[in-house]
Amino acid sequence: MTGVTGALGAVLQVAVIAVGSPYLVGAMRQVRARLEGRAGPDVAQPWRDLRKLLRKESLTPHGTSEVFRLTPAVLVASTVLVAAVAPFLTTASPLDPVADLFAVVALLTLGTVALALAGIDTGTAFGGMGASREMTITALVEPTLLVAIFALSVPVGSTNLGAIVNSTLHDPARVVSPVSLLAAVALAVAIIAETGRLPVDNPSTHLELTMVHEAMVLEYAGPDLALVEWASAMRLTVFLGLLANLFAPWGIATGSGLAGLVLAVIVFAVKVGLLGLLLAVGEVFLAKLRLFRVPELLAGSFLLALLAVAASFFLA
Amino acid sequence: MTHFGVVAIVIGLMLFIAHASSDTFASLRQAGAELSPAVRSTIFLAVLVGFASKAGAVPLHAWLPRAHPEAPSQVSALMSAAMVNLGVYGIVRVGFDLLGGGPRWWWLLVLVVGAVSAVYGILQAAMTSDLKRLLGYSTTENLGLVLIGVGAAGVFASAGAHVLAGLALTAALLHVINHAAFKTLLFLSAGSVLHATGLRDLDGLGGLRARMPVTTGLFAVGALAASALPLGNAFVSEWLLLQSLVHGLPVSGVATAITMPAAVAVVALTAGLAVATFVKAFGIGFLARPRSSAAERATESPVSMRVGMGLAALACVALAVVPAMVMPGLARAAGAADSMLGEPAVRGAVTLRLAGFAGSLSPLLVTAALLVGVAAVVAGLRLATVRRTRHGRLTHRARPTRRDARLWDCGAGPLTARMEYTATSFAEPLQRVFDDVLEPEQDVDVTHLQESRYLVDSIEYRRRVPDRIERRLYQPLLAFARAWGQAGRQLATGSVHRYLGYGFYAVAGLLVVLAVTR
Amino acid sequence: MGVARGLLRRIRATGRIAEPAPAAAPEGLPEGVGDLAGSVQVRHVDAGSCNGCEIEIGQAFGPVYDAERYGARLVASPRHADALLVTGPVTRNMAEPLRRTYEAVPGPKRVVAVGDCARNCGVFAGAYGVVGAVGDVVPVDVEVPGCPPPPDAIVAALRGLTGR
Ligand code: SF4
Repeated sequence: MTGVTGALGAVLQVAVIAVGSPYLVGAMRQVRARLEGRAGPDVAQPWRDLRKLLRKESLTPHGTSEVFRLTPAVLVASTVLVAAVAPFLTTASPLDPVADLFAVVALLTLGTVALALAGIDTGTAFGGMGASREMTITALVEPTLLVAIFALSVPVGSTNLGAIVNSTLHDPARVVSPVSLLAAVALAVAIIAETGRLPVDNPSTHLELTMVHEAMVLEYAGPDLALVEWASAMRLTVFLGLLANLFAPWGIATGSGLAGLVLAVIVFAVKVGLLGLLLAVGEVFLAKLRLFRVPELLAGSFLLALLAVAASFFLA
Repeated sequence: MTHFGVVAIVIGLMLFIAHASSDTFASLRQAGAELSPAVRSTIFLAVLVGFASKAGAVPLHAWLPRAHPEAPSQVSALMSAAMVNLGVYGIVRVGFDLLGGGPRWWWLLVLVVGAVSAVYGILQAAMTSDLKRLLGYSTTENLGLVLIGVGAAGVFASAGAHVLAGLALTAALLHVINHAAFKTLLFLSAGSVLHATGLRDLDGLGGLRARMPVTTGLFAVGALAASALPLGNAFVSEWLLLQSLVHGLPVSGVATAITMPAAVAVVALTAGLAVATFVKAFGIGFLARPRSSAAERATESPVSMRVGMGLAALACVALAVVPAMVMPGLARAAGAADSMLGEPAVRGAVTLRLAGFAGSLSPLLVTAALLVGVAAVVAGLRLATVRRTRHGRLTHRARPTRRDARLWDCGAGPLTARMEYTATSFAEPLQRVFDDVLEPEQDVDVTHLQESRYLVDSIEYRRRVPDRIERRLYQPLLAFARAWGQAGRQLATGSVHRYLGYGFYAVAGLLVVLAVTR
Repeated sequence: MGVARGLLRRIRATGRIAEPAPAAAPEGLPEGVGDLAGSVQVRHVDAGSCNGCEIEIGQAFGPVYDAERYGARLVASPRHADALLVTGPVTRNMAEPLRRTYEAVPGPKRVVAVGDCARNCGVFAGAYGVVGAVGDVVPVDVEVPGCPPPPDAIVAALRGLTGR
């Protein structure tokens, strides 16, 4: 029975993230608009955008190869895979042993790499520029991510996501320990950098010279663009979901039983929504950092992660 | 340099053999157990210096990035796949087997050497635009990762955590195999590119996808492996390495508590930079449009070359999908190195499970799921497009689903190949981030027109990222050697009388010494 | 922190300044509305305007008129766009770039000519550097008269495209 609900939970996770992530982006835009005194589009607007993009024609820019054409699919597939294996709604997913936290990070990096290659593949100056910047940021984010994961896994003795979530459920006091708090801050900064939010990258910029993520996707149109935007919304949801469930896993379904699953969906939506809200509000107060100031920010977060590991050893 | 390494190894082993009854492994092993700590450490250090230079570890790596660009690609492949591994073999064999482990600081030293090599190697690789030099530096990086594993294994073994030591050693050995596979592939493909274009410089390559599809595809397999991402084989070994480091924290002692997080950070930084490096190598070298006429005229290389690359690629894929097939062999190897490490550290055929720790990974399932996912997305997209036309929503014009378009050039004239990002410009942000470490040299020459200072005739910009260690360590050494040579020339004038005089003085001096000491 | 608190107070004091939306979608919609189904990404092309129209476009997307609430959004690349917002008479140097921009937009696509100059060269008619109105270079779907057109007229035209 657990196996069945576990599998059901895994499917549900993918469905919730696939359907919900554009709404998350819409809600974040709505919050931002409100704070700027605007009315803003409603939360369903990203879905409307995606639907329209699917009805448009695709373009193949001259000189691009399969790399350019396959990248949107790779991006979506890697994100969906992460959505399936990580514990967002249930810890009983049968896929849990397939991949641990390291593998999840690596899978998400794979998507970034595909996008960077697509940016280079266009052969435009902006594509190359975006790819170069994105890879620089990725290379610097990686140490923070992995060391923060290290800090989280020390008390548990495993990097398996299910194990980490379960042990936090059984020992709630750990969440307010310095280890966990330091790791949470470090991870949050790393996630902001990975998902291209302010102050690392401005998701709504129109200035090519300040772009990072946008610069790589400048050549995509129609359905391809729909996939890229959908994937980036899902990546945001996945990252926020990971952050939420690693530090506050309550509400996640642990056993069999459909009621728990339904509750988990609601709690998950609330948690990720809250984090998104926080991010959106924070972004109103921030300006984009100069690209060469970003490493300082990341070095700071890396230091926090390292402190977290040290704390996990010396305070244990 | 390698001669220097050989000298160090010979000195170390001579010292060792002098204390043993004969030079067989068995008698050495026996003697190793009875040596005094000082002698053991001397032997280990001498052997470490020698084998580290073979393995291309910093600071004895200078031969690697120099030899690779000049050597033919098959030879480069052999050097990277076999010769550097000998260095690792030597360290493991002497350190674990013959000397039977040792104090912790030996292995911490190995670990630090590995960490420095890994970061330094990949940083230089990220900066260079010479394809084979890049691959050479990447060898230093990967051997650095292996040495991290070996060092960690030694640290764990000296603390008595044998399961963990077995895991770390397994990770290191698996990485040796993986590295051999993907580096062979990469060097062979670089050779194929060299054959077709005569170029090693990434700044002049590009656009090979359309001209050499097989080489491009195979290089992509190798680059994916080298950047340690899922679907590549090195991902599995780096995952194991990280696992062993993560579980090593509680092993005892402040030393491990400081080393392990630092080591994880080093592995992570190395992995991140490796991703950037190989995105550069593959993206700039093979995608987009050709940046030189040589690249434009390139044609696919002959079948014999493609077969060679194909075999290496096959090995990479096999190792990536079912790494379990080499696990028994690795366990046996680890057991041969140290009988305490003989327990297989990793179990399971499809899903790898760590023995003694909670941790699992299933490369096969991840690969399959990703491939199925990509296929499903492509098919789903096609479905969505078909429904679109059938419903006839777009009534006012019949339109093909995919249309060729010119690159978006902001409305200005067509983009030329000179406007593309090059390998040098791709690496520029990273170079600026690591400015203090790399100390790049750049100068800008502006030539003005004769008529006015305000009119510029030409601007020349040069940038070089020198190998700093090479410059700081080797150039003084070479200068020193040269100075000695000069001094020696003063002594050796060619006069027979003089030489006879030297002989006389030497004998006389020797006699005096004997007379005094006896 | 002080800056953040000041900004927060400002945000609270200002509240919502977007004007209430006019009740009905304006008449005179071009045929084929509904293709874009409530979402129109807009790329703005200045084909040689005096920048008066640009200021009004900026207003249309500003907080008071807030065109974004009707599903219109400015984007950075014509590849992402559904509609071109073209201002000014088309000058010689901008004729080819305008054509290329139009080419770069994936179909179905719309062109909105904003301002009198874009409709019929306005005050610049007959000037030596002017090729002609926007309609002479690329097919125009919607025209917004005025020199410069008021923001609500631009918003109305965009609403015509999004159908919301
Ligand atoms: S219509 Fe008027 S405001 Fe607009 S570009 Fe022409 S002259 Fe300027």
